[in-house]
Amino acid sequence: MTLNEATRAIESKNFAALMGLANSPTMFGDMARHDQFVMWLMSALETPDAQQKILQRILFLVREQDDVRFRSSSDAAIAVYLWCLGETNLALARLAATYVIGTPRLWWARKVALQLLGGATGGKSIAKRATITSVVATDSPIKAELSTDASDTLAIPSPSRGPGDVLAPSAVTITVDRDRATSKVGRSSLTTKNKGTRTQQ
Amino acid sequence: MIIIGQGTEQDPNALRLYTALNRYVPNERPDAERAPESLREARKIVRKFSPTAICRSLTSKYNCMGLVFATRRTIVPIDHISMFLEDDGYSQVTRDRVIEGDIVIYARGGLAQHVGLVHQLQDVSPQYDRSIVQIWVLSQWGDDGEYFHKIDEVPPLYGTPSQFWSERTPE
Repeated sequence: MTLNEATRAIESKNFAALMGLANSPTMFGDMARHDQFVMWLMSALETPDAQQKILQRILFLVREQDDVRFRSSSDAAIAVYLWCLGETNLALARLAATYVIGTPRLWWARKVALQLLGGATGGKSIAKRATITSVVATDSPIKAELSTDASDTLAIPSPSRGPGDVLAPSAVTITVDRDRATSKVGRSSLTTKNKGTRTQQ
Repeated sequence: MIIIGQGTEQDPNALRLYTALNRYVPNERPDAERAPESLREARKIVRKFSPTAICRSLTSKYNCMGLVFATRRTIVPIDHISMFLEDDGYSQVTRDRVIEGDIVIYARGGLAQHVGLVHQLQDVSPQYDRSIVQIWVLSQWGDDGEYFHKIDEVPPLYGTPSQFWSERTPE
């Protein structure tokens, strides 16, 4: 099997339909773990070259616009790619997750992205009274601070999506305790070394 | 936009869903339905697990819990099933006491994985020379649509029909 064959199978309608049987994120993970193409991809992702290719594939699929009235047809594939990348290279997976998290018309992919970034869905979030303290563009001269009355809503500006311009692996950090949350958004090129983020408490 | 506390009472997109005892039930609503061609493909997958399944509705707007407990309006994680069983007056019944309208819970490893409504009790005794009732269930299969299906014809990951519950008031 080649990487192309595996990605073709994972991006097929048949695969999306199969993964659609999942009733929960846990079941989605179980189904992915037992799929032959996903298992093959997982082993292939031990090489940095394959990891970069899958990262690029995720970014391509996220930008792809199919029928905007419906959920992205690549939702399950993006979710599986993110999940596989998360098992093999967490930094790259988080980089991809920062893109996926703000993309509309995704369901499973968004859940996986949120998990990679430390969040949770399904009413299980640890945040009960989150408040934004600041949003800082770490690699950009723009510094934005905002607060909101909506105590559990964290607004993150859409990242720039020019060619080769993606968020750094730790560009979005959500730190949540019982009383507040802080988020930072930064931009860097794909090849930029992770500079890390500072989290205000 | 990222919602912290997605699915909680603070999530503006979640349904205000409560049990009979006024406990909030976490739920989420997707921002987009799956495309019709994707759902038609899903129907083919369903038929692999249940060749006799009859599609009632091809939609991904709700899940099995949403069908049974939230009148097809939202997605409720299966982990919250005990909230309904405890607060909405359900009692466990044995398989031989089940009637139409009761619910069946599928479990794997002792954990609930899927839930459906008992739709029909079909007497298939003549085929077997002994008294056998085939139970037909109505349930939503993940994102893949809502189906009438034989009780044992589900994907292996859903587990097996393990418990039956009813909110019936005795005559």
